[in-house]
Amino acid sequence: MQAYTYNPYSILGKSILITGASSGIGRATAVECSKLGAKLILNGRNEVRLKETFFMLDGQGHMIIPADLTNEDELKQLVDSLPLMDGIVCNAGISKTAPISFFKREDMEQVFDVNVFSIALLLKYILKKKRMKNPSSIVMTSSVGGVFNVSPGNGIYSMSKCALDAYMRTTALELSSKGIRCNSVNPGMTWTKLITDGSLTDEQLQEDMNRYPLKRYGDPKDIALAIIYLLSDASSWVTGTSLKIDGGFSLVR
Amino acid sequence: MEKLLKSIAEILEVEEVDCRKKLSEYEEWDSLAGLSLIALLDSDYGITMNGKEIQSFDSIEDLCNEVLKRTKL
Repeated sequence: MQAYTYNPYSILGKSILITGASSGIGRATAVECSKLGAKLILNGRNEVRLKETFFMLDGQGHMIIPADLTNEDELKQLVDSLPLMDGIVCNAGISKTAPISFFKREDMEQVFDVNVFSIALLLKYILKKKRMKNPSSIVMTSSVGGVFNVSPGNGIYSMSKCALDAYMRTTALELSSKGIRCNSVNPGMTWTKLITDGSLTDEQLQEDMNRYPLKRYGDPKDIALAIIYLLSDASSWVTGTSLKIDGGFSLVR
Repeated sequence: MEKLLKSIAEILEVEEVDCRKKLSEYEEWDSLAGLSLIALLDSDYGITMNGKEIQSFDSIEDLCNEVLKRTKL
């Protein structure tokens, strides 16, 4: 049998930072990247869960750096210990569900702090320290929410993801001369703890899922594989793109 | 109790609620109403209740009693 070795989607040997790696899409991305031979730096707030991800990885040479990215001192310490990198996955994110008449400043600030500001500051310090190779790739986990559609109760989250996509496009433009590409993945409802927090009942989730043309929610691995495409050299000419991954949901909205 | 019933009526956009009814018996009860009630209980009563729990009560009265019980703790 012929062994096919041609693989333009390879990330073999690439050094990649993943934030929010302790669960959900970040964890799935870490696991898939390790199976493809990448060297990973895992970041998250919860060291115990970060270690759980770490022990799920294939291969050698990975490291974990726990840090709360909303704390600028911890963020700087993280950046100081980073190697020269081929890729970053800015994946850490939180959600807050509230109808617009129940918005609170503290909730808005908290969501924007994690979903937008900490990412912008992380990249600022990484660029100052010249930790990105030429070429390299930055991928942000955004959402269809806000960017491609809106849904009741999801205003704060949608606002933050719109802001993140705007930041992503600015970054793509500003860093193009340095050979750094920047894109986002924009998932529809994906099975992570962001949607299993109990705000919606099982019946509501089931009813919502049936509205998806492909009749299911996303699996974290569905998103991870798209992230890997954007990290790989296969996407060398792709920058500033919001890649929608939603099982066809936006076709019927 | 009066205040809470008024708030629930506001969320359901009805004149007043029949507290023997279940929330789901109201046509106006949808996911946005559910999220509004979760947010209301959190902001005005300091109570964290998820959608599943709110749906579990047999009547609006039972829900109100539970809220009052918890606010007294």
